[in-house]
Amino acid sequence: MARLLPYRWVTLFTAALCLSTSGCEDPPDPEPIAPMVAPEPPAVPSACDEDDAFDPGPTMPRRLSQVEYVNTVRDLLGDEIAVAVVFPPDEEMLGYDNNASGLQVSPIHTERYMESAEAIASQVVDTLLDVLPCDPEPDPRACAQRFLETFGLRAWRRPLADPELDRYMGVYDAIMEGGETSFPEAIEVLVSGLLQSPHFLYRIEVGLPDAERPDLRTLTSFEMASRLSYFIWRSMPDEALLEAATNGGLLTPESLAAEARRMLAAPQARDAFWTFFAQWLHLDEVSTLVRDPRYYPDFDAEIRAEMEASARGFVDQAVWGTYGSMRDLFAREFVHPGDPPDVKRMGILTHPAIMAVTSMPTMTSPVHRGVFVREQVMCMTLPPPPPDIPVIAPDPDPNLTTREQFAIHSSNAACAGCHSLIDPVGFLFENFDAVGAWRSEQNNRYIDSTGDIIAARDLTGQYEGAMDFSAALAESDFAHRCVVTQVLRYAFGRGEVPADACLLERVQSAYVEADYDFSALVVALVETEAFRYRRGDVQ
Amino acid sequence: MKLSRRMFLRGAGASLALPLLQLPGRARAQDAPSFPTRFLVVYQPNGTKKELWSPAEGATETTFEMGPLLAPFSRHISEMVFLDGINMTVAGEGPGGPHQRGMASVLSGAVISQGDFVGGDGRRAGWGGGISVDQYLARRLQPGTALSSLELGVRVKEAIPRGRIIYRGADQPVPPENDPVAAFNRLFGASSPAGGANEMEKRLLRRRSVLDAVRGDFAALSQVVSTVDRLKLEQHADSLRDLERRLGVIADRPDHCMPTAPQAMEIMGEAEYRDLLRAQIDVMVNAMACDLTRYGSLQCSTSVNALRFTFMDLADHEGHSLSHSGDGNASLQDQWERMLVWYSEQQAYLLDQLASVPEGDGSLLDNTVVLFVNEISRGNTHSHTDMPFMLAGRAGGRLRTGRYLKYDGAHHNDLLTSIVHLFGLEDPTFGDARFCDGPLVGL
Repeated sequence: MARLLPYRWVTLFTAALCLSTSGCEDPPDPEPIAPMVAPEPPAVPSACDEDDAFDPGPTMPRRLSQVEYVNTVRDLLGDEIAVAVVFPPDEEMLGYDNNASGLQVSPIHTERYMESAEAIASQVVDTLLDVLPCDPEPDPRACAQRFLETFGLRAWRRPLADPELDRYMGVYDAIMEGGETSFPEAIEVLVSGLLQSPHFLYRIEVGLPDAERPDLRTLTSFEMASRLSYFIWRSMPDEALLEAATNGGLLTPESLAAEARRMLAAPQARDAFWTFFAQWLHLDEVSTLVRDPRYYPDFDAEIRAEMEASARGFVDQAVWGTYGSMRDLFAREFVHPGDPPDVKRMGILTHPAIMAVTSMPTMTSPVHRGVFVREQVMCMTLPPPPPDIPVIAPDPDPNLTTREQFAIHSSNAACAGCHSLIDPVGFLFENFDAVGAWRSEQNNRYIDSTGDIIAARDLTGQYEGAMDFSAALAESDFAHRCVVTQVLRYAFGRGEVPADACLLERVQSAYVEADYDFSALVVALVETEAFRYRRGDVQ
Repeated sequence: MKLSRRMFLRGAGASLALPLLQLPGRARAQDAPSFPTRFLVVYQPNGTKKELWSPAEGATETTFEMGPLLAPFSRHISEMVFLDGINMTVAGEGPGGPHQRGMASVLSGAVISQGDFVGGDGRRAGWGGGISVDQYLARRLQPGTALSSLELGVRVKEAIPRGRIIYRGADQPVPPENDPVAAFNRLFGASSPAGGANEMEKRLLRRRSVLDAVRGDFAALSQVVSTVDRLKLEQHADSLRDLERRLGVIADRPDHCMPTAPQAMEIMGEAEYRDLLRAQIDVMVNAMACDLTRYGSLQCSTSVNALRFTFMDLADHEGHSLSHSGDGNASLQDQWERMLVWYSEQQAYLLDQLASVPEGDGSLLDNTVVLFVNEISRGNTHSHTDMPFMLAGRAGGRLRTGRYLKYDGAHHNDLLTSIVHLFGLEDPTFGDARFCDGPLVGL
């Protein structure tokens, strides 16, 4: 959300891994530094053994991220209610703003939650009174309780238990004492309270004991309704989901899949999943991208907006189009205005938006691009640089191509190990400059965009350039498994763990069988056992 | 000037018939200074160049001339202590890159946690592994001020480990407020509803009723959720306690402590960086002068920022890249040095402001300890050895200033221990005790 850097966690690595051409001249120390060895990618997923006891992986209370808070307030109270309070930016782990262990609450959060709840309550109280479930006369207290029951069900996404009703009726009684507070004022305070409660601000899953499997707990119908709605809509359950939950539904894979299909067809699913794609592919960085005006004088807010809209159009067509599939996301051909007539771009990685967010303000960065592909598209974790490597930058040569300037990385043993993993991937994209425009020459020299990709499972091999690589991605089991892994991170709000092996395997099979249809992936995930259980580690 | 005492007495708010706020602890009780001792951390990113920071050969504790990067501090030398040769040993452990580990450890003295952040070494880095020294002071000394601590930032964009230095405990990062206007409003802003004292009391009562119920929700939850879940929710409940205490204090603010509000600015703008920092410095100094908080931090951007100094003629490269430029590249190194001098200028301005607030026979600066930190020593090596630490202010007379102290690889946790001692606490160590030998010798 508020992450504005053009290169997110990529910078974590470039810091260490010799950004651009700097940093990899021969160390002054005569002692040779042991070359870094590029690792083989880990098995993704680790082997699934169906005989292992089922383990749904860790769960944690999930604080609503800002996107979810805003969506939830909208769906709870209507479009006209604005969330005007500015919250601290959400913490992001693994690149997603809904990671449970990443999201934090500090004193400034609780203040803002209070201010926001009060502002919302004061905006809505009049309209709420219009739709009160009862007449406050002659028994305002009974009506307040009725209000807590009905509004509370929607605000907390489940019915309030009796002790909870008592607690909030205690608030009502306290502020009505003395007779200075009007009924609407009391309702306003109750709304403010419900919106500051952990039951609004978090999704907390306690579940019910499973008699046969004490190490597991089955989620309740209401907990399932929220799991579905925050996964697919990033918002609260709608009336249909709450009604199904009230009737004790949403507990079988069949009913969950049916709901998921219904929800995927609704327009808010596209907006919600756009936040997934935008975070996964760093497209959310386009809107704040900075380019050096001396090199890219035309790059302004209008171009950024066009770039982002175009990227979203591309993603939407692949993901939601009638004949779309995730293979299209990686390899659908498209024509970009301004390209030479013989150039046909292929796949989202060749879209100007991605080429721009993986570049630096003045020039492309094969390192950023290589790291982006390794981490985001291959789900690899890169090794560290050698400790305290001496870093002495050469003067950049304006007569060389960027690729030629990066040759230093492969001629130095200390750098070559990792950079042989990273740079060749980035070189494939050298025909796209730092704003994603096509180029075949740089500094009057022909651009070599071939690359020898190592340690990439079924993607290992020689490529002629970005389009060649994109075509391979579309058919790559390695890349598509990474798609599934990314969706798991986003859906469960956590990193993958070894216990997820069978889950990933099952979803992967369904996804392949459905010819890489994204909706099928989502439905398959919803149908897994892990989606209906939590660990039994509650008290 | 009896500002802080009056402020405090009024802040106790007996007229509101609330539970009496906890009195400030030892810092007030001991030594009987009329003014509390404040602690302020100032963070600057991406290392420095120690060869242009340290004094020339032959420097002694009291006779020295600091290197050219610190020239802007010349008017404050007698109020400062320069600490050379300290190693941040604790940042050598744990997952993550050197910037991440440095940020996580610099104020906590603890090893970075494991987590879900891609750390660059096959393991995933988490947040800092312990409470930061400012938060520790606030927790131990229970100041009873409107805010137990104040975290201000300038263009702290990213909510990730290399963007956080303040921790309420292990894995509990505290984000800074980046907007001077919001920070000002939080401290000095419209806290008085129309209708005067009666209306204010009514609102307070309502807020307390709500917070009671919300805390009831948390308490009930902690009975049913898992241990891990409870820890997570407990952080929230802790923050609510802070909020509840604050509501009582903020209800009554002395009229004479009403500084001018800063101008609204684009808070993530590169061009505004200098003005934003100046505004945040002013907010912080005012907050401390009015005793609205005693423990603060000013975080200038983050490690590995992508910040160019477009407000001066340093628009070609961002700071992190410059910090990585090779020692042989005179042009880039020159630009990097100018950025480093610029930070010294701003920090000297902060000291000017602290020194300009009279307190008794001295100034606010005399009653403050300012700790200047960085997450690494040098950009192009990512080193955590020979860190560039500095102190300013006399800690109410407990810190002898105007000194240069050269250590031979002392742990930086020793420095953090010394700071805790300056506030009257007697902890034998701070942070991870494996990397601490007690307070710095000779400080």
